[in-house]
Amino acid sequence: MIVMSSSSNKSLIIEAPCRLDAVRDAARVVRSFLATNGVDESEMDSWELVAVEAGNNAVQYAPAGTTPNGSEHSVRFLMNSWPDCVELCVTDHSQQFDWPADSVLPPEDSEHGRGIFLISALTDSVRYLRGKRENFLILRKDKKTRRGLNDVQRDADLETTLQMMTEELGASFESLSAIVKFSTEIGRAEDTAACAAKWLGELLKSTGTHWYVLRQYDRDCGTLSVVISSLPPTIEHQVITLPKHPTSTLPVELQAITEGKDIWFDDNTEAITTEALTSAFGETIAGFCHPIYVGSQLFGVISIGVRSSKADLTVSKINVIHTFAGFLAIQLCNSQAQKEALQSRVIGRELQIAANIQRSLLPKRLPQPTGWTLSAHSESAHQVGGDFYDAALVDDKNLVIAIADVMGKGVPAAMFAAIFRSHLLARPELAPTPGKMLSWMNRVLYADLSGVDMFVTAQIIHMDLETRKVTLASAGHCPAFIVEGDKNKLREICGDGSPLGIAIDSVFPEESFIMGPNARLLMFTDGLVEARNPSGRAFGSVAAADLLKTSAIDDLDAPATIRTILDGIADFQHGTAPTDDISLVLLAESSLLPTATAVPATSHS
Amino acid sequence: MTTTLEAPNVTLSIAAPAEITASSAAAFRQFITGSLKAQHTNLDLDMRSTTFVDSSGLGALISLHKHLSEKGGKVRLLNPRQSVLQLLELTRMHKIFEIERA
Repeated sequence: MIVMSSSSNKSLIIEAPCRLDAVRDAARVVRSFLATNGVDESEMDSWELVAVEAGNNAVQYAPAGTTPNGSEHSVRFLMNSWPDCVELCVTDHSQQFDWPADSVLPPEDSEHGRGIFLISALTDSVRYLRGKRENFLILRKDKKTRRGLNDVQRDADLETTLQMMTEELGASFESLSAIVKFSTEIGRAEDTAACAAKWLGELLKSTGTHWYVLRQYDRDCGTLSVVISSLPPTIEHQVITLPKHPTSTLPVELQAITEGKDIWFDDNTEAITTEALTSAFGETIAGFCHPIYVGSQLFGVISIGVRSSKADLTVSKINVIHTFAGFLAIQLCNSQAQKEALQSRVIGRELQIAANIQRSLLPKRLPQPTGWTLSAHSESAHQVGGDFYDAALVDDKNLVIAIADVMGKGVPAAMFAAIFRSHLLARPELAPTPGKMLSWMNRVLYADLSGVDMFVTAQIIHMDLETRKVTLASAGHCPAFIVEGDKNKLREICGDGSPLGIAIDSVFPEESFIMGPNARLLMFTDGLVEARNPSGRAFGSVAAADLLKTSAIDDLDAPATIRTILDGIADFQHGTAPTDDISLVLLAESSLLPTATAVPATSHS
Repeated sequence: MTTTLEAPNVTLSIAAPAEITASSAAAFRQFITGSLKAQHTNLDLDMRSTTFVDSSGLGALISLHKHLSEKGGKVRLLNPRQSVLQLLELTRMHKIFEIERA
């Protein structure tokens, strides 16, 4: 490489071999030359890059072989530092290349084509003169106007301020966190949202953006819902759902979370992908969607931008947005966690109340009609169950037994069980006709049950203790089992009615039969036959019936029969936690039992 | 639709060279792609020591971006100097790459 400079050091000539590495060396010399001419740092950056791009272009389009006089092709740089401008002339020997009329950026993912754009963007004037053997690229840049990288840096003060803001935000993270945490801890969780809105408003000002929307990702539903936006009333209801099947036109916000990176959009972006944003913020918008993670968990996505066709946000502004969005997501997560903790404490208390209600509902003592023993057991799969049973001797002759399963858990189920019980005892004259009793209860409870989408399965049995006539009616409940006489035979009495709360005019046909000698009658809820073993198989009604028959053969009394059935279920479950409540009521003829005594009810929850 | 929504965490971190230019871009790209193992979906390129990048250097970065995008990952440029940062902004590359400054 040959380097010559004028005595005044205002002109420079470099004759470099036609190689990329030589061009790079020449650009370094250009930089040094400008340094000695008092050109500032950023302008030297620009010229160094311009020289490299121009020189690379010359190398790339250089003809093969040697010059007509047999020498190697070279790239010549001639630089002049005038009082008001700097001029660079790069000589090449291309016979094919011509300077394009427009120097625009290539598509984003193109790996080539930015050199000419850079040369044009970083200089004030570009002329390309084609010669017979040589071509001349003449570039000029006014020292006063300082375009190019310097111009890109026109908001240098603002940039510095933004950088400082980013650093400050990072540095004050702890204190900001403490402030928000404090406000939420004292039970003013809504302050987090108000605080977020205020800060996001500041963010718009400091980054020169016009609008934002922060959406949170719901992992269970696969949706993005608005947490806060600069136009809350307009898009609060907007929910973006992750499609179940792949699609080529995902909304930009879903693209950001599925690809885990910022997605930019402007007026050239496919309209269907920005519909959620344009419908809220206007047709002409541009900006980007940034996925936000808290730890490794996706929190959501912030979309932010301007009301114009292009968004020219600098890296500093983008970083401020990234930093603040991350900070905000942590605060919102903390706030939500605190709300959930508070809510779970409330729910815990509610469940405790419900459990107490339920315990108080189960009869502490069951009637023991002469010649019969009555025993029962109930256990809940959860803290509060929806099972219920009761029995009453209306008089010496009439025994009524009811069992019910409220479809629902917690306080509402317990409340309905309470209502059911009060109604069961309210109309003793209906006791001999359980079908009518259920019809009346259904009409009374229908409005309340259907209003909360709950229903109750129930079974009521009336027994005339003198005639041994049993009348059964069922509201969608599982059958009752009866073993009598020949202990190997079991009868199932189902009844035929829909659950209470399904239809106001439901009828509940009654089934009657005379109880044979040595009888046992088992009423239960479906948790008994639905109990599962570790492989997921259900206990089933056959196994339950077998246990009842075995107990009858063994002449077990009512409590012992119930224990036998419960032990059988426990063996079958083999440690598998029950998923449903289990309740049993057993009526056994005690005249068969050698030591017949009144057996108190057992009830457990 | 099978989509991973957790933060990607298989990242290769590499310090970028002092210059990424027309004469070194191809070697740079080959070095990085050779260093990326099958499990790497993301690339963190520490550019604090990079003083000069030209349009061919940008092309190499875009090539890596495309390579990792196909694997569902991304390239992050860490700590670029002011001059490199301004080049990225001038060519709108900051909309493709995630750029983080210390």
